[in-house]
Amino acid sequence: MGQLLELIGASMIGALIMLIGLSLNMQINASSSEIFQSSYNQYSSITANQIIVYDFYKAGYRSTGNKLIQADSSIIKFQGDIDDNGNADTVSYYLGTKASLTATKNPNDMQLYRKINNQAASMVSIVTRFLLTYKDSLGNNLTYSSLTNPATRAKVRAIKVYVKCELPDAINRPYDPSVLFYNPVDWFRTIRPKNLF
Amino acid sequence: MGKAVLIFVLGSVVLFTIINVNMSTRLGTSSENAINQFKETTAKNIANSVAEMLLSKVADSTAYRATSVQSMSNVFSDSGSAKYRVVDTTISSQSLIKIDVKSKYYRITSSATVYVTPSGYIPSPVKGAISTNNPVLTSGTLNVDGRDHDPNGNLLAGATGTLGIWSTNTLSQTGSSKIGGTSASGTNYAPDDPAHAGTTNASQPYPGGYPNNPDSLLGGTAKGFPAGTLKSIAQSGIGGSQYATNPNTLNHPFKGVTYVELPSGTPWISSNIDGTGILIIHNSSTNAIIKNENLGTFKGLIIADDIIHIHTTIIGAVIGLTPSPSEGNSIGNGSGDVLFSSQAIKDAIGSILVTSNHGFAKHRVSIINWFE
Repeated sequence: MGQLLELIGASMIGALIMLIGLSLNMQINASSSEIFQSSYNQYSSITANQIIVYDFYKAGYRSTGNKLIQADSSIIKFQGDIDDNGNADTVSYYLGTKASLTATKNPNDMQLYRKINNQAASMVSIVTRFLLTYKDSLGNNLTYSSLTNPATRAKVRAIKVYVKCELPDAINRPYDPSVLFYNPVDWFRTIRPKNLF
Repeated sequence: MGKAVLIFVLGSVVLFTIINVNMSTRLGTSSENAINQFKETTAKNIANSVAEMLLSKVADSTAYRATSVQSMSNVFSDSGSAKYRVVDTTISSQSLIKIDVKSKYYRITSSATVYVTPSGYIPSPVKGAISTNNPVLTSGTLNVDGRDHDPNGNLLAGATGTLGIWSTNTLSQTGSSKIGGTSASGTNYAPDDPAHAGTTNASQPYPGGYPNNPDSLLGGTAKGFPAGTLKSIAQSGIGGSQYATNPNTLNHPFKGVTYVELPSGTPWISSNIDGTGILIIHNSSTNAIIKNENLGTFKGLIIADDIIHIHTTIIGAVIGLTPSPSEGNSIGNGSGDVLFSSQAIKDAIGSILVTSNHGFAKHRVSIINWFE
């Protein structure tokens, strides 16, 4: 009888240890997956950041006349010699549509495009937000409606860029399964192109 | 049973270790990304800071050059360094000073290249304190002095100025008006009645045709002023610039480019021209009129289609564009002074040349382009 009780007790303890071990493994797996995807998302954001920073600092470089051709909340078109070959290029950034990305489960992701002169547009990154804010020399925000006027665009001295990148698929969080978590990475930067004067 | 538990425990430990290492690597990469961002920003800041320091150096002494690669260490911290050159270069026939900086912060590198030019210049159509494309008549007590003055109107003894009046057409000096200037041989003559020979030049040809708009007058595209640039600067409001079709809406004192585009045949009468910079009175028909400049002292360059009756003080130069002035040729019929000042003109043009100047010492430089 005593041996039977000992066996049952040992089995229960063993089962508990196994359950704890399995649970720990699951948690570690989930965390690992989250960190991996977060890392991937960070890379995506950094890539977009590097391309945007490289281009935006060239705005107005070796160009005359209207350096900022179009300035809106998620569209920008400017002139700048981005390849430093002596000829000003026309650079534009704009968003695709949410509907165009049907393969991902994230309902808000869009392609951020970059177009140089008349070349075909290339994708910079997948983003869920791309917001541009334009500031004058005193740091005051210029309204988007006023920026349709070339004279107002000529006052732009700084461009604040906000890029938000999210995962294409939601992360399954065991402790909060009801929330679709896309692990966002927000990136802000105020760029003051030295040639926008 | 014992073996199975042992295998399970050991397996779990191995699995946990692998996952933990993987997680640590990922976390480390994330941290590294953030640190690299900081390093890249710092390297960029070092490059720009060194370029700014060299700009100040060039602004203090426009003759400063560093033709061989120079090094600068301990920038920002002992991990920051930079190498630089300051050399002459030519881009699109424009002589420029090139400041080239390569920076390093830890193993991250960045660069900045700045093209600058000493600010301001005297446009070639400025051939006298007053230059016109039409007949000129001076009367009253108008005083025209082509000798060089400082921007406050003080005569610079020994400096070489320009002619008092230059015109493509005739010149008549009447009343008690006085004209002086620097002759072609470089001799300065005080304003006199009649003007000393060689201080005026009338009925002169203008090779290639007299400019008929402000941008071409400043040298056009070759000097950074393609058609419409001055108007665009005025409309942008840069450096206090103003654009108006009704001169009553202008604010004083003028600064930068003050561009008054008057409707055809509507004169700006009894004008207050108090201010500095470049004052333009022009329209597409080249018949914008400014008449009776009664108030304010203007320092800089006045470019007017049709300028009549200067009754105040202008330090710098005046240029008239129209070949057919509305009131014949009377540029001054009362008391007024036109004092040539090369520095006032250079300051006026330099302030808007590329609208970004640098330096507060003896010289200022204009930044043409900045590559970073």
